[in-house]
Amino acid sequence: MKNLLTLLILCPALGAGLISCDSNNEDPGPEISSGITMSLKTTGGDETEFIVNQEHIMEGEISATGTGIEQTGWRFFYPVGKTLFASGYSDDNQCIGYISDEQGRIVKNGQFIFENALEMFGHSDDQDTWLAMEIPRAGFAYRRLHFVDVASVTVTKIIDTKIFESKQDSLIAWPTALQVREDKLFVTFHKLDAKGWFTTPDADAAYIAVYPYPDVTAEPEKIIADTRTSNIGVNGATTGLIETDNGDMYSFSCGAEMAGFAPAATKPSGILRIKAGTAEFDDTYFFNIEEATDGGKIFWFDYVGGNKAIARILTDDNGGAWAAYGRDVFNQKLVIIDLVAKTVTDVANVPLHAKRYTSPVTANDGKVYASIETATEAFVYQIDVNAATGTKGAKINGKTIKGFYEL
Amino acid sequence: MYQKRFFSGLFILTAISSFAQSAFTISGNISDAHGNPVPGISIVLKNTTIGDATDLNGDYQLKIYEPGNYTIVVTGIGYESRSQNISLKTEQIIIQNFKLRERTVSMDEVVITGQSEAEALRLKGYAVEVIESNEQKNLTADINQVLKGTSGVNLRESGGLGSGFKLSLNGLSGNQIRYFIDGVPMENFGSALTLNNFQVNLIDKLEVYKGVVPVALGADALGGAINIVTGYRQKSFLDVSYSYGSFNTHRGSFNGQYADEKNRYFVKLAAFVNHSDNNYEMKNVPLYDLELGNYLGDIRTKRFHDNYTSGMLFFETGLFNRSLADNISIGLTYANNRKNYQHPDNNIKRVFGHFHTDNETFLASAKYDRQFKKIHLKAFVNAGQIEEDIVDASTRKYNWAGDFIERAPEDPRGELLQRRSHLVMTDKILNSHIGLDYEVNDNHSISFSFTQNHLDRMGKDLLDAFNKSFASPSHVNKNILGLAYSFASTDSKLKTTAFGKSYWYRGRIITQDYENNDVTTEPDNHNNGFGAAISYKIMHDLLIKASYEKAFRLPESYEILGDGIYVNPNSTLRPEKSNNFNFGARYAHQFPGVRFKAEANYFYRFSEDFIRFNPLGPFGEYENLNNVKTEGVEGSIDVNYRDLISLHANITYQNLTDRTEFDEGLPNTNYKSRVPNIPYFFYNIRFGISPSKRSSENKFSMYWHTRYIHEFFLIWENLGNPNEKNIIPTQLIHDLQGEYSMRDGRYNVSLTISNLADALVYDNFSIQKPGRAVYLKLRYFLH
Repeated sequence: MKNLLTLLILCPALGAGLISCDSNNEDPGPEISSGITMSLKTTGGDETEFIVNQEHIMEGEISATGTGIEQTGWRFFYPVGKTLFASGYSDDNQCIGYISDEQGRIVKNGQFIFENALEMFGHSDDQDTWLAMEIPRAGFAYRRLHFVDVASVTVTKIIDTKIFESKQDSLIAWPTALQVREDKLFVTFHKLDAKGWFTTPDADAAYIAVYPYPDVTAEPEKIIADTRTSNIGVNGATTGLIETDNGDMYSFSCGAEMAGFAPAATKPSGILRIKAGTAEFDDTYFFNIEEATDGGKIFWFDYVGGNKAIARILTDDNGGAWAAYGRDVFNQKLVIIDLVAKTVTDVANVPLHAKRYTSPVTANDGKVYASIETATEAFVYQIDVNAATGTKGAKINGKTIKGFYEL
Repeated sequence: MYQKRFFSGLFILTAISSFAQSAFTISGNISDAHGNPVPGISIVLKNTTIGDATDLNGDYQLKIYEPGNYTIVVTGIGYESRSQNISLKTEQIIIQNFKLRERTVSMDEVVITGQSEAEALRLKGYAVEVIESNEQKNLTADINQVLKGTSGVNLRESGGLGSGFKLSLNGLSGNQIRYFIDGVPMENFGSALTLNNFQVNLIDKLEVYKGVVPVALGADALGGAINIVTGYRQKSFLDVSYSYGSFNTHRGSFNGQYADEKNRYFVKLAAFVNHSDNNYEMKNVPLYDLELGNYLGDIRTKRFHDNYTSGMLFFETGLFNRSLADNISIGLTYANNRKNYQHPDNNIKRVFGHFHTDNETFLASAKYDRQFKKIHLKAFVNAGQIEEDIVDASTRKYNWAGDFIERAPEDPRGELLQRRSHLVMTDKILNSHIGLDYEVNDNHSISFSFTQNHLDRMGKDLLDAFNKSFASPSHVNKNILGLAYSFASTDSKLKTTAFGKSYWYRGRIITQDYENNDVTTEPDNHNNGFGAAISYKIMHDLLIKASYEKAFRLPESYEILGDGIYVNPNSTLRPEKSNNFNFGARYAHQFPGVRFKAEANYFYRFSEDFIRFNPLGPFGEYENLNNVKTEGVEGSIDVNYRDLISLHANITYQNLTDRTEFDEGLPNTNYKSRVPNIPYFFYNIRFGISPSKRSSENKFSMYWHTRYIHEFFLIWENLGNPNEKNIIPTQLIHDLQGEYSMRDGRYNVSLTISNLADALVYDNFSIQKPGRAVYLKLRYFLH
């Protein structure tokens, strides 16, 4: 009731009804950015997301209280160079590019709209072009590949492609990575039924469509397949295929019911390789993750340098459909995978957790940040890639941090 | 009209009290046993030439210039005569109401009550606002516009005529509020029969129950109910109006009834037609290029695809004052509308050029009403079919400049949906009600009420073969049982009611899961609610009242059913529940020449298990997730000086806070914070002036209406950089209305200028509402 009194005092002209209350805030403009930029998802209500900055994230708390740029609805956050793209999912058909200005403030650098949600992302090797793909959920619709000029946040062209479709078998493609390497674009994909139920009737093979780049054609040059493991990638992750320093590329296959496969794949979860300079799966390479992790399935990975990937492993697949995207089952463990040596090392001091979406990560001096959420708390961890250890940092006052960025 | 005589205000009072005249005024209201006003009743002072006849609302007024003892004699055809002795000494204004018994009913005494029906309702313990529409009947206004000016009510619209709206009542909103027409729940009646379609001259009054709802209105109303009373029973009348105004807006209404008092039957026909192009100017909308989606800058442009057309035809016939029934009738309703959408209700970045909905509603109803000595029986049954077409069939893509491109031949996208769609949803409804009031004696009465509400839903997509929404017929049934006991002290100072309600919810819902298997869900739950209301007259002019209800809102069918695509069914969904408490005081006094009324209420709601959509991967379901506490105060004053000047003002402040401690196991960032995107401070001022003489049969009136809604945040106010937060800015809107009425209200003409200052106003974030608009209305009223 204190607020009411304040209001009534502020508005002596209420009776006259002609003067409105106006609080006189001087506008000091956006906040100064320093340190690390993060996309923070808060708890409660509609779980509003904010872009926040904080110098020290290994102590104290990360919160959006009084700080941060509010976002509309669930968003994908994807950094390309010094630009952070925040792209709407179901509530907003707008994508905004944020940069850090001369004063170090995070500011909007441009925007554009799209028709169906942009759900898969990649970028050119020179990081001048961001690739973003609209993926309609049902029917034999084009996947619309947007070429976005990073500097101006402007769409320069859109290429319509189906990637793959089979009207006979009622199958369409759901891309899970857009990886550019030199003059090729590699698009990993799931084969889903066309009705939009996200069922995976053909889960038991890995597929990659290979396109010329930058002049991407409507039809891929070829589709390569490998039956040693299942469809590559998972829904909502953009790093189904990663490139290491020497130009080799590695893909992960999950196949778990918890990760959205219906029915689950019968092939083991594992990692395949495409050697530098080739556009075929490397017959000599397969890393069986299920064998290496005692039945685990890989749910996410990203490249962190030195032929190593940071990854999350579903320790079992008992949660039911899509459970890895929720907060009922906490069975994801953080590991470091040596892609060449084919070893998996559990990251020490990090609890089992649940995590849906992670922006691409960047390793700095062999360290990456991770948002780790358990049933009752959420914390930032700094992961030492070589030592495979985690250090608990700031408490997250929210549900998750989708990504850590240096703008 | 009656309560208008109480309208008054202290500051005016002091200025004008010197005009007070030393005459006695006796005024009041005459109603029948059911509380319906009776017009044409003669009221005379015995052995004098002073007399009057009741008007349409049953109101009368006598002016006497000499003190002394008089006898009021009340006579009317079909009613037992009554007389009442009255002594005029010092009190200058006397209110004397009569309740008449029909002649056919033998009763030994006329019931003389202290108030009109509306007044009686206000004086019960319920937190109820009764809005009599008379003052606005000549104006271009629909029910929503009348409700907007009511304390505790906030109405948020997404555009012009026919646009989507969300009404909130003391902080609870949307489907937490239930609507009735003459006691019949309007659930699932279709979009052609929403409140914004009804012009005010089709109705008699609105009863707004805040938080606590009497058992006679059988519904799961979590936050209150609004009952539209159409009135005019057993009388002949004709009310025809037509209005034309800005944005090519046409609104016509017809409301006529022939009641044959000799043969005791009536025939009623009511109809409306509404149309607007809604092509108002958007002052600031983003323009994107059609091929690539790049932002080209903001433009100022007119809306070009927002037409709304609706119509209704209602026919009713019945018998009255029979031995079989006091009133028995059957009615048929046909209504339809077509609504074009310029953009989705929550997003102006998508622009439509063809997306629209069509609705067609057929209803058949039967009503029965009978007073058996001490028992009053009321019953209705209502059946209908409602077809809603949602048409997203265009291959074009538009922007705000009105430009479009054709999509590629293989692009299946519609304007809103990922695949072009023409979804036809067919609802069959059946609801019925039986209510019994038993008057044990003058002090005690018991009420019983049972309401049943059945919905059968079937969907078919004519364009999108993959859309399986409601492809298998599903049904849900709600039953609500209520029992109330009321007590009134012999001196009528204390009135109290205690009640219990029982809710049953059952259904059989068939959906398809993501592996295309049929999933049958059979929700079945039962809940009990209860409540009480009490009012006490501390002094003649001062009444205090308190009420409480533990209320429920049963899940909507779509919340349990899902959408058949991405919203999964959830049969374990619990009802939303709320503890609603009101405490208020009401002061009404008649000073010489001035009627004054002031009312203040405190309201408290603790609501749990709010139903909200929870996404899981690309799917999701509705779940019980939030608790919200609402605390607020509202106040209103009414001042009326000799029907010459009137002032109504009301003010509402409410504080809704999130009381959800944990969100999926993690501490809620916003625990105890103010719930965003809900107005929390607003007021209305309505000033009227009627310079015509009271005796004149031609009258001119003018009204100035100001509405203020304080700015509020789209998202939690404690989160985010305060300088960059999205806000819904403060609204200050002035409307000016003038009316001229001839031949005692037979011919009426009015001019309304809404949003006089052409203010840029938004109820919802970035969704601009119309600017200044002018409407002319002609009305013919014969009774």
